[in-house]
Amino acid sequence: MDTMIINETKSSPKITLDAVNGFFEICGVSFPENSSKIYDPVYHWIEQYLKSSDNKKFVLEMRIDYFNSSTSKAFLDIFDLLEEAAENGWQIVINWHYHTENDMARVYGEQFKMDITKADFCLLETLE
Amino acid sequence: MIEGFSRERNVVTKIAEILENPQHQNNPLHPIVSDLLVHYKKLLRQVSRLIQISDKQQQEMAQKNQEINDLLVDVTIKSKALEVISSKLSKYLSPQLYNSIFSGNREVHIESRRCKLTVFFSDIVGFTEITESLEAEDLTALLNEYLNAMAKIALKYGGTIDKFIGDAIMIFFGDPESHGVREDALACVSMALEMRSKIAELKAKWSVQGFQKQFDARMGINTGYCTVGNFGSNDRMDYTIIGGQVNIASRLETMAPTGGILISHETYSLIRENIYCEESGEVTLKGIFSPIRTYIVQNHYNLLSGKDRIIDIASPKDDSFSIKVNLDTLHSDNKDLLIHHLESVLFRIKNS
Repeated sequence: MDTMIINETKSSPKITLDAVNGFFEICGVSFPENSSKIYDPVYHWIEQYLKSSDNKKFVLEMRIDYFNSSTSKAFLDIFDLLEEAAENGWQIVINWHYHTENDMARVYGEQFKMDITKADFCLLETLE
Repeated sequence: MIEGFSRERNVVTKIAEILENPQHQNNPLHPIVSDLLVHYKKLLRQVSRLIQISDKQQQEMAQKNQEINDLLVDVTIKSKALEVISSKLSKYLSPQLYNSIFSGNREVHIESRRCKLTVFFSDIVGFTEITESLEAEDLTALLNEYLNAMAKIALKYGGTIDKFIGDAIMIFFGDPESHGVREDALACVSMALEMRSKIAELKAKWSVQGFQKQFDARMGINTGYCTVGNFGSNDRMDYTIIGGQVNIASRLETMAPTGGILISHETYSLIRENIYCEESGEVTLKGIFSPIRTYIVQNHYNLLSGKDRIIDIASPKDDSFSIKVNLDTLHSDNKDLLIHHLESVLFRIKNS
C-alpha cells in the first residue's frame, strides 16, 4: 500500500501511515473545522490495510496534546475499527503517549481505553 | 456506559429480546434489524464516551478559566502596587527619564554618550545667612515652595532636572529629549527668564508674610558637548552629565550678578535672535584655555520695556562710534531706513 503522510497544520496533526516500514502515527494537536476531511481518508486507509495486509500486526502511536469533540469521534471510529481487527485475530497495539505535565491528555487516554478490551491500549508517559 | 441513557438502553434490551425470540428468526427484517442494533449500540457507546470526554474538557476549561481569573486578580493587585511604587519613585526622577525608563525605551545600565546640551545652574544668594535667620520649619517651607515653583517651570519648558543640591538647581536641555540645539538653548533661557519673574512674585508674597530676609537667585547657562548617561555602580547609579562645559555653566552661575542670568557666547549665539542680552565682558575660567565671552540676559525682544527699548551703544574709550535708537518711537518707515543705513555701515566697516 502507498504510504499516506498528512502534514501538520496549526489545527491538525501530522499523520504518517507507512505500510512498508510498519510505522503508523498521529502526532500534534487536532481541532480542524472539518475533521472528516482529515480522518475519513485515514479511516479508509487503515480499513484497507487491515483487509489486505498479511502482517496481522498494527501498532498505532498516538501523540496528541489537544483535540476537539469531532476529533474524538474520529478517534473512536478508528479505535473501534482496530478493536474489531483485534477481535478477528490481529495483534493491535495503541500507544497513547502523554506528556508528564499534561494530565488531561492522560485522562482522555484513560477514557478511550475504557472501550478497548481486545486490543492493547497502552498509556505511555513521556518527558519531552 | 454512563448515566442518562436508560431509555436507549431499554430499547436495546427490548429489541435484543425480540431478535432472540425464535418466532421472529425467520422474519425477513431480522438481519436488517440485527445490523441496525449493532450500529445503534456502537453509536450509543460512542456518544456516551464523547459526552464523558467533552465533560472532562469543559471541566478542564472551567478550571483553566478559574486559574486565569485568579492570575488576573493577582496581576491587578501587583500592578496597582507597582503603580503606587512607581508613582512614589517618579518623584525622585526627572519625568523625561522616568518616562523613558518605564516605556522601555531606555536600558538601565552603566553607559554614556556625547550630546550637545544647554546646561543651567542656579542657587540662592546668601543662602547660608538666610538659614541662620530663619526657623527650620519656615526655611523648609520657603525652600520647598521655591524649589517646587522652579521645578514646575523647568518641566513646562522640557528641562531635565538633574538634581537639587540644597538650594542649588541643576537642569539640562537636550537629553533624553531634544528639539534641536537652538530650540533647547532657547527653551533653557526662556525657562530662566520665567524663573526670574516667579522669584520676584515669591519675594513679594514672602515679604507680605513677614519674612525679612529675601531669597534672590543667580543663574548661569552654557551650551556645549557634554557626556550624558548613567554613572555610578550597577547597584546605585545616577543619570547625569559631566564635562568641561558643565563646569563652565556652574562657574557662570557663581559669577552672575544677584538676580541675573549670565550666559556664555555659545548659548548667546543660539538665542540672540529671540532674546535681548547685554555683553558682560570676557571671563577666564580655571582649566579653560581661552577666555569666555559672557552676556547678561535681559528679556525676549517682544517683552522689552523702558530702558531696554533704547539701544545706546558707544565706544567706551573715545568718540570713534556711537549708536542710539529708541525702539518705542521707531516707526516702520524709519525702521527700513535704519536697517539700510546700518547694513551700509557694516559693509563699509568690513571693507575699510
